[in-house]
Amino acid sequence: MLKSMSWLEAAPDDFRERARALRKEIRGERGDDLGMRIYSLANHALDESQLVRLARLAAEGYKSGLAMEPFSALKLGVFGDGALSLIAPAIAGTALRHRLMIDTFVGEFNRALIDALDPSSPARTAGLDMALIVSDARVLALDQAAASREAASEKVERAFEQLRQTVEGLRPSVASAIFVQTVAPPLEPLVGSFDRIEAGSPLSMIAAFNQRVAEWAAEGSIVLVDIAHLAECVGLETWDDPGQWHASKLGFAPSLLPVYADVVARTIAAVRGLSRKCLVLDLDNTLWGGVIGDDGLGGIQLGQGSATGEAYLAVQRMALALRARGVILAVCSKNEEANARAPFREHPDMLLKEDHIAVFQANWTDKAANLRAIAETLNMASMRWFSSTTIRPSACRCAGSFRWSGFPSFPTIPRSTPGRWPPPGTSRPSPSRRRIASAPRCIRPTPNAPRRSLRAATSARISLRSAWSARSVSSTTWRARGSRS
Amino acid sequence: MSREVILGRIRDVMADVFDVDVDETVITPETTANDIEQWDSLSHIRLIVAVERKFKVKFTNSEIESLTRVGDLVALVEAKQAA
Repeated sequence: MLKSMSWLEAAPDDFRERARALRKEIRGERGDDLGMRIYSLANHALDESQLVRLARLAAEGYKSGLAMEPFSALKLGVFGDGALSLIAPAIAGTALRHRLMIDTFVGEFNRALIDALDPSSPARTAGLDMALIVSDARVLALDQAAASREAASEKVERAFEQLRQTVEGLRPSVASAIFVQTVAPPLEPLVGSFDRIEAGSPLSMIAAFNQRVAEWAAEGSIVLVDIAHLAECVGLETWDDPGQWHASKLGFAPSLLPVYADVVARTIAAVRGLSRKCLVLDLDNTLWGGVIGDDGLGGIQLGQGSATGEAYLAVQRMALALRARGVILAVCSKNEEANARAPFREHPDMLLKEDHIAVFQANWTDKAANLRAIAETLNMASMRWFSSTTIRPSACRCAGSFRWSGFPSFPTIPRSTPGRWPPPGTSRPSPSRRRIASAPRCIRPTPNAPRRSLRAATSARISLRSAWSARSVSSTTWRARGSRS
Repeated sequence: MSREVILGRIRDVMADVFDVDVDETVITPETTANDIEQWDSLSHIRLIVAVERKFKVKFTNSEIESLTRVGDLVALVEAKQAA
């Protein structure tokens, strides 16, 4: 599911033709909705080559000065261990899915520390908004066992210090966030189950290293990208590809580049305040089994006693959990309104109540118009904030998708004012750079667009912030703290 | 699958990976990386991944290193599929 990015629609068969048509327009005919068409293409499960191609297209459009709604521009430095030249274009292509037009600056393999510490290196003068440090256990020397507990802790400390120095060296040249990755645990055991107990095993050392990185991130100095967790979710057997490491120094199976890039891009988007803010739910066969208009209140499947009924309860619980984190819930369903509302009012097993739903659209109008009406009611000037990645009729897909497409980027409280990054106590870039980095930038928007989208974003922030009072998600603590300080 | 069919499919894969127009760039069994500007060491990795995915095969490093012409890749895919 993760590997195939099943929350996205499959890449269109005519991707090549569509990409070619877009290029033609960029070079000549100038279609005015180019940005939205690129965005729409990006919202498919593209493979690594398609991502590279799309990124090139978008960059070409941007450079030729075309209006590129809905993208916000960002210069990202990619440093560290591994085939960065393979990783960077995949991130740039994937970022389009998250409404970011990323121009990457790629550091040289294994030169991150040297580049970071040398004030005259190109990395330091590239004008970076953000930076990503790619780490690999093999380069950090955490893949070889240590002889004793002391030797192990020394090794972990050395690896962490190398990373820390790279980040601190880069920090004055990076306007906004620096992203640091955790390191995937090894697939091969050293001595078996004892690895977990023995401090000197690669497994234990990598766990200790990741713990250090997490504690660092908790202080607010860096933003964590939990690649170790991603590797575990896809399965280390799938993740690990030593042949590829020997051939190209890519630290994982190349078929996982798209999902890796998505995890990175969604984290960057979250820092930029571009996370989805509203979850639109369908009703029939989404919040309950069956069709309320046909089956009636007693006929729908919901609640304890059947696996299907319990599964729908789980979906509702998930929606409520997102609401507790500040995501606005809305309903959009082709139904008679009275029928649609009946379960919310009268069904004893419904967890979702009418009060939880900010906008309730149940009618026979088409879905696209209803989604637009929801956006207008919520004063979100742009559909971009919606969790449904494309406007499509099946909110069931949407409900199924938020687990990965929205997590962890869902629980985002956009920074309330420019200049909150970095948090107090860390070095701060110059005011002008800071402003550029923290305000979502639209590329050549129409004259009225900035103010409108700013207003919408502000109103969303206000409602999100009040909903956030029950702060409970530890992974976003740094950001919540940032917005309150 | 005949060599001709394999070559045709590899041509499609190459068009996607190298972002070239198949009608403009002639790809024959004799084509090498020198003939296609976009065919560098990085896009070569993407090519191998794409070919492996397309034909549901897996190459070893030494097999990949032995490739010099498109024809070699076609022969390798054919051998893997026969196995």
